[in-house]
Amino acid sequence: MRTRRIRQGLRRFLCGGVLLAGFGLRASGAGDDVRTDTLEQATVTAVRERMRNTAQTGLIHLDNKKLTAGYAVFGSPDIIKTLQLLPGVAAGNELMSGLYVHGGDGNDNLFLLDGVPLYNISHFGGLFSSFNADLVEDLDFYKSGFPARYGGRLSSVVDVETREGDMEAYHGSFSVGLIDGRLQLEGPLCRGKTSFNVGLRRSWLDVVTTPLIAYANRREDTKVGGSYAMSDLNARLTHRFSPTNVLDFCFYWGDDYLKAGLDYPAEQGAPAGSGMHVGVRWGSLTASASHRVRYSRNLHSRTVLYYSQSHSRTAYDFDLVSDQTRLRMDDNDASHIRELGLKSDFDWYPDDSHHVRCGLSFQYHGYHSGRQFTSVTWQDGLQADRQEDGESADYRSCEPALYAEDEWFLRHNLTVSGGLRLALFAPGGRAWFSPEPRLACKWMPGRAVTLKCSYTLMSQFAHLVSATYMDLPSNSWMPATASARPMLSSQLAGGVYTIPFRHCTLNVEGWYKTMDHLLVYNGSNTFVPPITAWEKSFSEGRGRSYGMELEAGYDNGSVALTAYYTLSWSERNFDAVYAGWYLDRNDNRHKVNLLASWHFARFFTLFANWNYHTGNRITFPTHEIAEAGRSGWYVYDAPYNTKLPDYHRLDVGLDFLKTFPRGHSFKANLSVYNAYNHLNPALAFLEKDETGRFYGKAYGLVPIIPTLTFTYRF
Amino acid sequence: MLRRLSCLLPLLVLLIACEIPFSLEESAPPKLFVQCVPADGATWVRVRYAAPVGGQAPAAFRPSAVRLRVNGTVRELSETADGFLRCAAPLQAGDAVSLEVAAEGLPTAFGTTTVPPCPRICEAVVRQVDSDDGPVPCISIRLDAPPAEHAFFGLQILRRQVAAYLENGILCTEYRDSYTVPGRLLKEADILTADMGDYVQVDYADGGLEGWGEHPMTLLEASHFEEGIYRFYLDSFDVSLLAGLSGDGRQPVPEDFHFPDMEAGDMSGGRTYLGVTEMYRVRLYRLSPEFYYYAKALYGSQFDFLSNMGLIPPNFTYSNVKDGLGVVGALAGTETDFLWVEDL
Repeated sequence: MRTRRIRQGLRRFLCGGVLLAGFGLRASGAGDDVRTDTLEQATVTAVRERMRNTAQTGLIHLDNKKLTAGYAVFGSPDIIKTLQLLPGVAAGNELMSGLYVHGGDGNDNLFLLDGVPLYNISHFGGLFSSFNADLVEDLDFYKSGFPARYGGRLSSVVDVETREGDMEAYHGSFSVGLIDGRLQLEGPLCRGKTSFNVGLRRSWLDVVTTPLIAYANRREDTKVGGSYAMSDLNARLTHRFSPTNVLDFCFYWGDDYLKAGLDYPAEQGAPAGSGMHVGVRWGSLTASASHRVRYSRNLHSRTVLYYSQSHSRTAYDFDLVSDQTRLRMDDNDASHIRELGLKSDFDWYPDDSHHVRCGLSFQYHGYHSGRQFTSVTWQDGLQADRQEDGESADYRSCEPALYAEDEWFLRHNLTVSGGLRLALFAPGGRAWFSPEPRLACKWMPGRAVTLKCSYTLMSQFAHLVSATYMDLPSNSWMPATASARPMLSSQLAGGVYTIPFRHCTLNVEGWYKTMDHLLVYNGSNTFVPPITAWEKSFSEGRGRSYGMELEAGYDNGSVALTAYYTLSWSERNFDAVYAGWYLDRNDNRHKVNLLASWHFARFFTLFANWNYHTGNRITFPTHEIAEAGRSGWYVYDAPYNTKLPDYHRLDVGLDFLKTFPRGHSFKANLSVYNAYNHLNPALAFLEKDETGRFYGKAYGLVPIIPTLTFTYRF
Repeated sequence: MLRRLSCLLPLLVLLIACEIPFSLEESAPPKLFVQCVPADGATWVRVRYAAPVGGQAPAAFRPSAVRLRVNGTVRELSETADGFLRCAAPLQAGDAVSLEVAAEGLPTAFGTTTVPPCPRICEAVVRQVDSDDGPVPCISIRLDAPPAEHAFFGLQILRRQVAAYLENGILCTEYRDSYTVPGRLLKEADILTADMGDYVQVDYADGGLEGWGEHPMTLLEASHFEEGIYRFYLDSFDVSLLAGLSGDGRQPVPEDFHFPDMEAGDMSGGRTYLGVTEMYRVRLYRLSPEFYYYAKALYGSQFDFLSNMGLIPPNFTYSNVKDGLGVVGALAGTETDFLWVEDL
């Protein structure tokens, strides 16, 4: 009882300390240790206050608890799917890792893993995100009001930080889900000085499918093969020279492998059978060394040297064998983006009314996309002909940038933040200079009400070259060129943030965003984008998005209720496509998310999440040309002219958590995706009934998916 | 095994898929549809009623006024048997052609284009090349100069099969014409990742432009010409393979046409076949940008199923007709003599 009272008292004290810090009323002369302890221990509990007390708009902070709790599709907590629930974000195709923020294109989000840009953020064509939630400490998700330290993308920043390993004791966890397994280990290498934290994930779908396919093939002459596996590894090594001098080494490796094949039996007299095989491998690799130094209580810095790579390789082979001739064709496609970077960020509190951030960065990019085709003909066992063909595109570029911003606490209830980011992008022989102002303002007219507004200008120098809307290995990153200029966005955002009652929050935010030099694919129907002169297959255009978000929350410790509502418009203007503005395919006019969690009966937590949004848009024929003796002559006048039926589903989850002595715990999670089995439209076609009336016919593909996951922590 | 698996897949999809019928909430207004194609010797105009999907076309439709202007001068139009309007006045490169169509209850449609210069073929050569499937004809056409960057072309290949036979001791010949499309040799073509933009074909004949038909026209850009030369193969494996994808309009030889299956010396119906040969005539058109963009969109609109799934960008129907649909686009063409292929 006494311990409980002490804890409650400490909690009140810590929250109060953070509130004071947030108001800029820092106690001069307070000891370094006291202040450091206060902030470090109270960061999570005071997140809501932190959001309210800075001039930052459009920021959502999620900690590990929020990211790993609740339902998990296929058994793995997924960061991207958690972000998809948030207001202002459209998810695109169901179950995929699309993240269309404030009318963005999905390829304009900056993902940072321990400060390192990550270009490939999903596995299995978007079914899983690349982030292993077991190791994630927390993340900051910015939708507007981007601080000057971030740049290079138009629509959002997802800054993910992994967790330091425990400096004192060894821990770990092991999870088995529907199609994957996870292992996490952490502990000290040198007690109190050095620690590690390692996480490994691997799908085991291939473990099941390989013997099944072998069994199915056992009596067949024609052998069919195929398997898929994804795996990733996160590692973090932390060494503390002192409490104020810390060195981190972070490593991430993600890999996807898909192969399929068909082998025919050998014809009579032929030395071997014909066959065809395809193998695709793609993934990411990042490695970084980060040095965090606190020089004084007013100044600290973080310097990161990193390497980031995203790559894909696709190999096809065809073997056509007859009794005398054999033709073998090999096709190898490969693409990658490599980035070597160094950046230094400084935080400085010159006095009680200023918080200055400044820094610089230098990035070196290497882009490659290439194809190699080989065809060899044998006649009677001797090579008769050999053809080779190939093309490749290679680019190199440098991107230095520097920034400075100052958050100025003008009065106890008025804060102004101004910043400027200067970025230069120089792909051989050409350079773009991009000055990007960042402005924000906060005013608190009352204790429970905060008003904020912000303006940001962002630029993006890399384009994702893709002929489809899917996250395919054939997609490749390419730098801006003379005919595919850097993309630009400017966004104005503002909102009201209130605490109307105890345990309650009510926030309303609005935004208006414009985007320039966007690209849309205008080539022929193919899944593979062009390599050389790829710009010719894309048209340039504009985009704009505007709307408002409403967030209402209640949390008393055991029951948490959150409601998100988004009213938005997302439009595009590509002259090569249509004369005038038209609604984008992810224009979801209304979006509602209701989230609830209830901790009960000591061991159980129940989660529920209801999602609704106005249907995505597709392009149907707009007109049928009337000509005698002919039907079905259609014209597609306006893009994305048809709205699919509205989307809604309910996900529920139940956690059973049993804690054992010595800190061990067992957790069983039952998740049910789409609990009432409402099939939402995935594809649609135009149909005509017997009376000649047109109607749409959509097909839903994702039914109810129950998943049971077991996790043991030790 | 493959068949079994291929049966299982749709069954699986059917099991979990569910049809969701929905009504079309948004309907476009009715418009005029116009295809106005000024070509070398004449201008063809096709005017139709574009009924909004979900609406009804009128039982009888007739435009109230169709005004064709060439360099500002109104030209006479006459109606043809197949429902086209035709102006026989010859056109020259650089002529500005505009069309204005009015109809009761519909907005007046207006479009304009400029007649492009006629391409000049300096040289056309056909030769025989060995391939894995046997010899195939290879045709090279060379322009008088490399085309400009934004020049667009249409290519039609007329194939004439000529049979010689003796009938009652008299030497006779008989021929059949059909159209074919350019192809690439399988061993040279990276068909798995081929740019399908190399195989875009529409149907064009006498001002009539369709997505599919018996007169395939392959659309080309300046990048298809290497130093002014465009080379393509005929009758290669690729032709038939890619024809399945791109809508090759080749017609089979009619049943009453006995060759080319007949060997020389065969007797049939009192005739003694002496031999068969093939010849090709290449027609090359320079297309106005409007014609090219419209034709390319017309081709693409045949493959809307992937975009309906939300997997690829949709194929929008290009139009340069203000307050209407369709195209006012010109072309100017030239053709080679028949090119003979020996010893096929």
